[in-house]
Amino acid sequence: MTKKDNTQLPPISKWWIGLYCFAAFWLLLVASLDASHFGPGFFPLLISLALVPLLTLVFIFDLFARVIDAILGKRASRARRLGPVLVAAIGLLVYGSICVLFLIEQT
Amino acid sequence: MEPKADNSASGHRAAVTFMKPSMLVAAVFWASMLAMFVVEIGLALPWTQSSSFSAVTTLYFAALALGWVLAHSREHDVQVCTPLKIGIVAFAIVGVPYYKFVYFGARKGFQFIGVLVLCLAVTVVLSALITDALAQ
Repeated sequence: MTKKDNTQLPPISKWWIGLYCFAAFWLLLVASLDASHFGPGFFPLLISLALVPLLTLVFIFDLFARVIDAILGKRASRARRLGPVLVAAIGLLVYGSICVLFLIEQT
Repeated sequence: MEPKADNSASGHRAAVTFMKPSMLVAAVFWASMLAMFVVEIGLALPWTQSSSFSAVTTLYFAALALGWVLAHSREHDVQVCTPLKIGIVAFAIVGVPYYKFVYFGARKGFQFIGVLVLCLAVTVVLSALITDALAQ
């Protein structure tokens, strides 16, 4: 019973935080490339058409799983429940903000 | 009756050791995918163009994806959380690799994506060959 009420997702690992950092860095790079003289056929810009929405989906999925896991894992410590949610939320917020700023710049 | 029951149990055990449940689900998944490619894209049969066919195939593949994750987690003694199960049913293409990455690490996750891409390529090639053979 105790095991069932604990959080079941493993804690966020270092490489996963690295993925958030890479995604944010990639988005900044793409935004700066787009603003420079590189044309729309430039490879990093082309691959971003698939990569940026894919990473957005993965991060939304991650946040969803972490939030529900924190709600269900009532017996686990507060740090164990809320820590991963906080990391996922901050990661998605940073990534989403850069996306929104980029879209505003475009329009 | 007793020896017969014992024989069937050992036979079942032999089948399990021959092919793990997760491998069996994966084999059914890719065989179904091959059949769907041939019927829907290759032969473009009229009844496959309906929305009800799309709905049924989506549910079928989502159920297979969830079945694979449950079988695989049982084999590796991993307890999959409820939101992940819901996420896999709703969006299997992200959920299944996410399960591999989160529970088994980045290396296994990338290996899994590589295997997925390879299986998809083989399925596409096989479906093209089967479609050609059926068309002649």
